[in-house]
Amino acid sequence: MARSSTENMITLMSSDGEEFMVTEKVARECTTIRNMLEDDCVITNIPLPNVTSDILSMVIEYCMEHVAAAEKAAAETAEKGSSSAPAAAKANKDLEEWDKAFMNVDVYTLCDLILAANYLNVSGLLDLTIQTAANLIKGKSPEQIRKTFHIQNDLSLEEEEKIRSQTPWAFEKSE
Amino acid sequence: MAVNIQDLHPDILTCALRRLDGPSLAAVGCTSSLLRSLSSDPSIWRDLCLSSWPSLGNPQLLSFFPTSKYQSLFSSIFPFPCHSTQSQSSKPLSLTRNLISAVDLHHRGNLIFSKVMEVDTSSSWFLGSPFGVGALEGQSSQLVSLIGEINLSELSLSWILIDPESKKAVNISSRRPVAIDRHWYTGETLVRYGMVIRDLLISVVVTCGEDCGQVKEISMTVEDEDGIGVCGKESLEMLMEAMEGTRIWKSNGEEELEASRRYDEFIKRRRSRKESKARKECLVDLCCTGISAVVFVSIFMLVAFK
Repeated sequence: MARSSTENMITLMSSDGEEFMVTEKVARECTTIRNMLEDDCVITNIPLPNVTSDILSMVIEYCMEHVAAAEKAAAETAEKGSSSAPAAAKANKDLEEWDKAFMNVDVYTLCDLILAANYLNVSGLLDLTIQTAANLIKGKSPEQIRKTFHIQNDLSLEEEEKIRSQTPWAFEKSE
Repeated sequence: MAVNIQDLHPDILTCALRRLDGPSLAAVGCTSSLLRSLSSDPSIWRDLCLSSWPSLGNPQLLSFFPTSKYQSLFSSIFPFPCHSTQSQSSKPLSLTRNLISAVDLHHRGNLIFSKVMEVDTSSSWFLGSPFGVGALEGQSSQLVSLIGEINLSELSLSWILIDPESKKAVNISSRRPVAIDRHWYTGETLVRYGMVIRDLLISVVVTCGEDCGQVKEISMTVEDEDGIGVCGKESLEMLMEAMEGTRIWKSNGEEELEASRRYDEFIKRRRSRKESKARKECLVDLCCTGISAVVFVSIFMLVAFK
């Protein structure tokens, strides 16, 4: 580890030039940034040309929440000597609830978040966003999926008919 | 410019597709050519099959199905067989010489039992006697212990039958129990799964020990409307037609409810047949008694007034 736990501040700069001051701990949640910090200890200003300010602020919000939750859990464990299972379960549930509320976004934002999470390599956020996208697909008909994700249908009628005939049971209901 | 889901990296999209269930994966493949090519990746279907039915990971079964076949395998074993299956071709079906069963028992998504077994179906003994396959066959070493809190209505069972010659398969379990009864004498609990095809009931029974802590047996039988076991030949014909026939699936587990409804109707039919049979027998008895009484009286009169 290059640094002690004293609160080092790091400035992240979005593609539209907005600056965000975060603690090093929060920034380290992004594996991409952590690698940069480990390569070069004196870095304090990181430009992120692939992420817009509104998406970057959401990513930071996610990282801060998860760092805070992890710190709280660690503090409780240290205080009591051992972590109590019900308290840990409750904290986990609270964090899950928070994640769920955090994922209440439109599909365009969701796609931007997936891109940002992938670029910054925030594994928790990437997992959460991909799962959210999968949940949006689940249980829907092809028409509903196209509408939800604004997908242009580039299949011809014959092609679509052919695809449907491979799994006829899956489409019986829409007839 | 706003990012569309199709602008995401294919690896990320594949990652999302891998988290879908079969029907959703089939639906998403119909939306656009990009999603079509990603969702028809055979390894996705293979992994979906192997995680849904761990018994398919058996080395012998793995060698049966090349990776490209798993999408069609999923299509034959995920949806239920059609109850009114009819042989589509007029030519008689050639009966398989072997029948493979792949059984998986889950409780709330956790696998508790998985087994593959093969039955020789070519012997005249098999064809002539009532059809039945047992997964544990009384081997006490294979008793399955149910650990922790078990809710029997949440035991879900899959029983896949595979014809090793044609590589066709069908799942004959109703997934959810259609009835849970307690045996009055042994105290064992019988969890039943049923599928009615034509006029026959394919019944799979999971027998749990007295304290529900153990699965003692899992067995499959085929019964007709009189509750009599159907012979191997007729059962095999029906099962092979079911493999060929169409499949049905409905969202929100409606096909499970339908299977349960069909089972209830079947049992009701069986009961009313039993009752009408008993009534007929009663009537015949009464007639016989009447006739014999008349005969007796007339003989008596003949003797008395002679």
